[in-house]
Amino acid sequence: MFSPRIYARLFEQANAAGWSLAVLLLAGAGVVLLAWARLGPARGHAALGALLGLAWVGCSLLFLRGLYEPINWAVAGLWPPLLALGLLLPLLGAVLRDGAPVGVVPRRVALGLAAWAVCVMPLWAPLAGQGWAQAELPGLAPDATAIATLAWLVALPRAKDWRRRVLVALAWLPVVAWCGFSALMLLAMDDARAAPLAPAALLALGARLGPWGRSAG
Amino acid sequence: MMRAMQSTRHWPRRHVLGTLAAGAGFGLAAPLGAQVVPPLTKPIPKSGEALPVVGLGSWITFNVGNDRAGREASYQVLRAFFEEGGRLVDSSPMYGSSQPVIGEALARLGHPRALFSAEKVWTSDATRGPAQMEASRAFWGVPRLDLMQVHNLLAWEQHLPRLLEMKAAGRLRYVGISTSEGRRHAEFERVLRGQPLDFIQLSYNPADREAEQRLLPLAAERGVAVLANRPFREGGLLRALARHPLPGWAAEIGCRSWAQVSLKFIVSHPAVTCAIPATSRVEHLRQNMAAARGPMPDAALRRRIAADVVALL
Repeated sequence: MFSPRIYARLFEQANAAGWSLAVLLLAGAGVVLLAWARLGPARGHAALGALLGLAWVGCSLLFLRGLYEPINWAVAGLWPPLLALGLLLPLLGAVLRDGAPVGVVPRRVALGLAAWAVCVMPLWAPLAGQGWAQAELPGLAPDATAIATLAWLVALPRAKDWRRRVLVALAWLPVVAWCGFSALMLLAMDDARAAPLAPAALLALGARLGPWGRSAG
Repeated sequence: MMRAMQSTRHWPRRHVLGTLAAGAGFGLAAPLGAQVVPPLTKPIPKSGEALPVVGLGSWITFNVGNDRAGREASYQVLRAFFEEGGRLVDSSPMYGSSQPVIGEALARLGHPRALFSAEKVWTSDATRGPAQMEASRAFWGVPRLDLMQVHNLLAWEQHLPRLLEMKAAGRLRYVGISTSEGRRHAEFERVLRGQPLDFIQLSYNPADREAEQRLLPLAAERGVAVLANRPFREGGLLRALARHPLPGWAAEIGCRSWAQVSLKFIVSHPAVTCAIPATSRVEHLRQNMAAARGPMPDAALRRRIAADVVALL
């Protein structure tokens, strides 16, 4: 185990080294959202998938392997699948452009999860008195990136054949596993940030798999 | 009420000589101009070698990874530890990056001669034991580790014979076993009875006294040194006591904090050789080491300390 102080410093170090990547990713996501109507849902989703893929490559190598693994040996088994996710998400976004759109409930859940990842999670450290230097930024911090990825997966067009459905399932696995693992680590440190992770994963799965998940059209 | 440190007549003569030897050794190892009073020592029963009664643990506190600020803080703690006359530093492969952090700090300190390195072997695959222990030694940057313990009794049936062979070959000086939080005490007792151990490590503090029933008396009977981990329950004991003022008897034994009360309670048990509190703060380190000086509680006061602490929790 490690101290909460050292854990918080991981974000500080990651932000110092990779803030430009986080800014680039957030700016890119903003551009995609602004151009959503012009791009259409399929191309918009694919573009966001590419950005999330880049986020996981950066997060896996910089944060997980470079900073977190030295103090938590269990991360050694988790960052490679998340690095692979960085390659899988752009592929999924591309191959599912002709997929069936999801229903209203998954879209709203996705919006809520995305807002949580981008707007709420970065505020946690400053509001807790730890300062902006330790803010959890999606694209660098794994928990925020995982929640953003859940949002994307919930709203992902539905695959029409079993091969693409298998690819989608493969994408869910490391993200949900990460949410569970990180929640356990944070619980061990009595950190309140543990609370939303498992519910977020369950909410995302429920929204995706439930009968309300399909488009009425 | 209390037993003054100066009353050396209460200690075996071998201990007195060990204390004097430790004091001389400390004088050689201490920085020039240091004015620190040497800490109280106790002898390792099997050899008579003197160990200061307060050492340094590294669980969580030294696991700072690549954080430069964290590594600097760890170096400062270790530097203060040796300035205060400390010797025994305890770690394990289980403690994340603690081993390389300790090694880096020791290298910066020029490898103090006073160091007593206490490590552990922690793998269920006994074939990996030798490589793991060699990696630990390399992290510390020492030619030989002083004490190797089987961590939490993991695969002890396979590891212990190998450790005893290493000791016979001069590659280790002492062999031991460890546990924590009261786990596996029955098995711990069986191993302590049946194996030629030099050290055991277990959890012991004013609130966790199960070891007093069987393990501490057995260790004393078999001439086995005792390291006490979790002296503060990883801070939980101190947080629970923090809102209560120190009782009047604390000043009589020179305690200014509950941490010092806990440490003096622990190290004043006749069977305990050394307590190993962990900290990442120099001021706490110095407070902990201060508990190795001055008057110690006698049996009556120890009973009172335990009763008062439990009543306050």
